Amino acid sequence: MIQTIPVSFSAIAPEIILLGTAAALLLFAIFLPDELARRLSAGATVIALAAATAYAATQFHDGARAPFDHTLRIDAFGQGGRMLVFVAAIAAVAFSWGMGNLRERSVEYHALLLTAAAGMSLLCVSNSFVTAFVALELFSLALYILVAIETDDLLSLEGGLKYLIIGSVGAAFLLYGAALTYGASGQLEFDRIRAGLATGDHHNVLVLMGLTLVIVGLGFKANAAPFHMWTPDAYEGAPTAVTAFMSAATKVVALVFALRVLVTAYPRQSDVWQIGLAGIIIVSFAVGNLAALRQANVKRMLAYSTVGHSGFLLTAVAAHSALGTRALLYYLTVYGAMNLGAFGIVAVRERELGRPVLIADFAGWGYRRPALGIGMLICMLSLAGFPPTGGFLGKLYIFSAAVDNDQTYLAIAGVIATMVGLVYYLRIPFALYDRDVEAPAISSHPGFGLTASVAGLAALAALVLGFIPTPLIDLARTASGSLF
Amino acid sequence: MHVGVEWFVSVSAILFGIGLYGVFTRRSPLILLLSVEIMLNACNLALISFSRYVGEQSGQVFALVVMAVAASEVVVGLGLVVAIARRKGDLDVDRLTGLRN
Repeated sequence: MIQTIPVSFSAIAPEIILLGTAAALLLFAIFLPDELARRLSAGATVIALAAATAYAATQFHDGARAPFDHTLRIDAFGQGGRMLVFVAAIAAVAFSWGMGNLRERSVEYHALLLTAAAGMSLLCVSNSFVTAFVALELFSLALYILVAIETDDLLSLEGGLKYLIIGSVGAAFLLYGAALTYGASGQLEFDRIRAGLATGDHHNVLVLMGLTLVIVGLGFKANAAPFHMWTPDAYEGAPTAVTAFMSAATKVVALVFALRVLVTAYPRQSDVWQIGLAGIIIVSFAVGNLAALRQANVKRMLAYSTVGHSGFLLTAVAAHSALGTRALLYYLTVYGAMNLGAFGIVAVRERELGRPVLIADFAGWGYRRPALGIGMLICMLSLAGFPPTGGFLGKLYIFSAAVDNDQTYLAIAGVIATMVGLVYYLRIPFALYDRDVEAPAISSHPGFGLTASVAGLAALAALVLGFIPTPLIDLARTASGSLF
Repeated sequence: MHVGVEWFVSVSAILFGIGLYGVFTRRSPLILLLSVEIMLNACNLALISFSRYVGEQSGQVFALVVMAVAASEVVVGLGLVVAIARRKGDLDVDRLTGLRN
């Protein structure tokens, strides 16, 4: 008997647009002279990403559906994740514009960026372990190469190789967890796994082992401690535009996917995974914040800060509620904005100096570049969780979701982590407005205006979302309604 | 003679453990890539034996997909190893210490 599989091209239109553009760039743009290829590939990438964003936005309010025989689930939650990824990718194009050492590889760079965005987009709407694994590896492989794209720089290569090995171990954990779950339920699609596990003992050893391994695999991808070892090396070695993209977009997809798989496939085991996540959350708070305290390099400090932030984001997942999902989507948006802002401004300073940026390199810089100084100030205050920024509201929202779910201890741990975080986040504003140093030299460089204005916009978004959160929260309510 | 699914799954669990042990103890990037491959193939063995056990084919299809993905992962990994070796003439992750706190 031959079954026909319901095909829906509209469901995967964003991926088709992005991968089609990437293939066209690789096939044709390499024949063009360098400068023309650079402009063309950047322009085509931005247009493709904008088209994909618009397409996801038009489908946002449509009802949920599960095309391709339940291997995908197209709903508002997935579309929201997709849009965040695409916007982060557009920012990455702006940050890399004019980055001298990427010039001769701009076609490959943009094609890989499009591929990574397509893989992430597919992971946001995956509803089966097969699709999820392929999507995960599609964007991971593109990111491994993007981290190592500066092949003249040994640190870049080294970061890429470490990321590849540890990332693959994470993928193997996820895969083994999927295999054990398949053995217990006989299914690979998340909604069918839930149905398959509904009968019989839903705490049998196969299910619990599978769930544990899936959580470990998710921990690797969400760079939560103790699975974060690759994070500082990959973040420091990668070109700063790529670091900005990784920090914002990878986190979005890892958390969106984690919430979807745990809520859709394992709702009956939620008592188990909530405890597992609570352990990861507390270790992430401790490791991320304490390690960030003793970093002198800004990119490494921000890398450990993302490990600490995994704790906050996973707290929203562990709440296992519509409120937690809204809090997660709100905080992911703010988190993306403030990280893009911070890394974008670091990219500006890095190109002024021509070497990696230390915290001391920001001394007095806020007086020389007032607008960017204020942008960096907003990003740091938002990351630290000061009112009235979006970072404050997001943390409050997540803590209320935790308390609502009787996980007050996670909210308390989060408050302690926030207080420790103040120490290192505020080092940068103190340096920026240090009166006792001679104002540092600044210089103009190609691409400065674009990088600076996009970074400034991202910082502004982190501030505005704190003042006017309602439209975003309404969107997050629609998205969480498609899961719960 | 009938061999139960638990034997196949035990072998795959042992393979997964060997791969993981290799990742944590070995230093050469080539052996590390090899260890990751052992882990992925342990997953394949588990998927195929469970597929037989539950009487459904999608697990075997998944194993084929994993093989393709694992191959492309090795391509990227070996590409990076070659690029590093060209620059350094040395293959030892212990000596890859440019990135440290």
